[in-house]
Amino acid sequence: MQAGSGKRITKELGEIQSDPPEGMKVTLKDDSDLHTWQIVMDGPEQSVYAGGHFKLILVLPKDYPFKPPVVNFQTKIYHPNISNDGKGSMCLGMLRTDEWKPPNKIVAVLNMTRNLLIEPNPDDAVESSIAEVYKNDYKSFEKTAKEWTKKYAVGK
Amino acid sequence: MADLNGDDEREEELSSITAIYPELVVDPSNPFSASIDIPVAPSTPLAVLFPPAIDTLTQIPLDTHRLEHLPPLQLHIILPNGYPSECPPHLEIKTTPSWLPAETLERLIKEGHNLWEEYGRGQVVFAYIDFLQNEAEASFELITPQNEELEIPQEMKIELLDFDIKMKRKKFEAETFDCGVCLEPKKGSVCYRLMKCGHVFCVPCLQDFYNNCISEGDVASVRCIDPDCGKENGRRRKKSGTLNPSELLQIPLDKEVVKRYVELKRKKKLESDKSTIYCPRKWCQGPARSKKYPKVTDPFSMEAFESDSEDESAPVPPNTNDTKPNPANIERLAICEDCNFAFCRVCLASWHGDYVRCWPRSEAEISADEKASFDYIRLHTSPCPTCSSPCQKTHGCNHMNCFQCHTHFCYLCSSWLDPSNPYQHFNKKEIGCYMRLWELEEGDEGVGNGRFNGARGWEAAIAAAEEADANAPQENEEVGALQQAMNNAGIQDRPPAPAAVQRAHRRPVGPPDANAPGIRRFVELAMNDEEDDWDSDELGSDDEDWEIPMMPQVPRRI
Repeated sequence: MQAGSGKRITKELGEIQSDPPEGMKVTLKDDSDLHTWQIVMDGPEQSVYAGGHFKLILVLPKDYPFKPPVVNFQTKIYHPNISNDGKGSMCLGMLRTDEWKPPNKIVAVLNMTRNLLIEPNPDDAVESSIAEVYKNDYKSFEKTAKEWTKKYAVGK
Repeated sequence: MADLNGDDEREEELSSITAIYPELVVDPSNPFSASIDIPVAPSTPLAVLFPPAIDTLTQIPLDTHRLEHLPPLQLHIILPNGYPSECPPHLEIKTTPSWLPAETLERLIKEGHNLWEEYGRGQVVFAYIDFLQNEAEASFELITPQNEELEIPQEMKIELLDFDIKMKRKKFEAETFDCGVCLEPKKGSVCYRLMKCGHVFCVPCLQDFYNNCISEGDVASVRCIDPDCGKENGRRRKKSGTLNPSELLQIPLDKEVVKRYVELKRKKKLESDKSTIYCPRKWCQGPARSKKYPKVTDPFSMEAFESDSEDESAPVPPNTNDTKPNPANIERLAICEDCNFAFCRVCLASWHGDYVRCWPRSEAEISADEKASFDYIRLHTSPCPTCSSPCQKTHGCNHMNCFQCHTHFCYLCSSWLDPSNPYQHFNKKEIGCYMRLWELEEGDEGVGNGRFNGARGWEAAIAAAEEADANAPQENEEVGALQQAMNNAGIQDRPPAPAAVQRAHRRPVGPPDANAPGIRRFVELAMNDEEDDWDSDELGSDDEDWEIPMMPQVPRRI
């Protein structure tokens, strides 16, 4: 697998760069390292993150695709499913080790992430306080999310 | 080769057909003779029954096999003199083995002649091959609403099933698949189709993935890799289940890896079963032998796994016998499958026989009622030195005869008594029971607690010590209180462990010297259920104290 792993990653990278998913720019962080991808994700128009550009780092483990990629938001974001601890980690759905299946592709991970910006999943939250606000006081959630987007994700 | 014109016409017909059907072989020795194999792959798989050759009285349910491929029709055509205008072609059809019924073969040949007539006695070979192909696709009309299965004699079963599998494999190998893991298109010959769900991946990817799972101990992931596999029916996801070891070998995975897989799976099951008992020896801790999860002797046999799929679809209701805190005595015997240590699943001591009353080591495992009766038996009965059956005297002397095993013993100290002269025990001055044959004549409940030695005395001492500890907590160390209580109770005998009691009759009176290094070491080892390299002979000279001379000194392990 280790030999085939690089081949698959190259293939996926080629596919993604020639046909990038909506509102994303995908590059290698360092051209010599196939395993660390840098993504700039535009906040989806219909979401509270519209106008923001979010930097993500996607790290492919050595035994990818047998283990899921690890996704981190480098740009601070107010979101129930993204940790607000400076790491911006995500751990849900197919990103979980027990849910991950090798035929899943990175493009699916990126699309899932984007969909999560449009529709957070407060029932599977890492930030339970944000999830509470989202569920009980959407207006306040919207306000903070927009503020944070403006503050951290615009013009960088 | 008489008629030159005819030659040309017949030869021409056959050679033009070889252009269409390259598989048509013209007989090199006879240009008017040719053969062709016509594959039989019905559009709907042919339902076949293989009734047993001999009629058996017992009705064995027959399973229908649906065959996608059957051995081909072997058509042999000879174009005789006078064909096509005067003679019909000479046709021979057979199958190997002859699975196609004779009447069908006859019909097919007859149809050939009819066809020749229909074509105005013209060239008919191409039309006939085409006709046979259509017939094959329609299963030769063997399946009718009245007759839903074709019966084929039992002796052809293996050959036909084999043929079907081989053809499927051939077809599979010729196909190309996109492996979902490496994302490469792969030839079927390097791919594997999973048996339960039919998903296809390339062999190297499957090997890598499953080897990885098994080496990491993640046996639950040894299932189909497809992300949507088993999700179609929502809850039925579990059914897609983990793979059989035999399937893993087929992929193929290394035998060693598959063996580890089987062992890990069993271990997981044992661990998740609360009724599993583990060996009380600290250095072993293997699980007790279990019928539910037999130790794997042949990891590659299917049977070891047959129960697996059932487990996953419908959890087996917990066996009440296993979970009851106090199973019947006969069910208490447990044997460690690793070190073969026989022990009691309730008290976790080494096996004490069927008739011994024992209780869980942890009080949390017994109910208040059970605790009460346990305490009662502990404090108000004397155990038989041979079988440990609890005895209570209602009246009479202190020479007891066990109701269970008929051992003669002393009610006061549970010592074994010589059946030929049981009363000498009460006549020896050096023994604590001297002149006490008639103590507690009215039964021990009537007169109050007498002065007991042996096992019962110890229990009384322990109870008294516990009481003392409860009254004056922290003041005395437990051992101190125990020692004190024992002194108060006038205990001079051995500990109450059943094994010790059983041997009590052979032992000299008086406490063993607990400070002798050999004995102390023995006790320490015994507490931990350990063994060491010491022979009992090395323990010192205490053999001399034994009343009964030892048998010739056979080196014995403790």
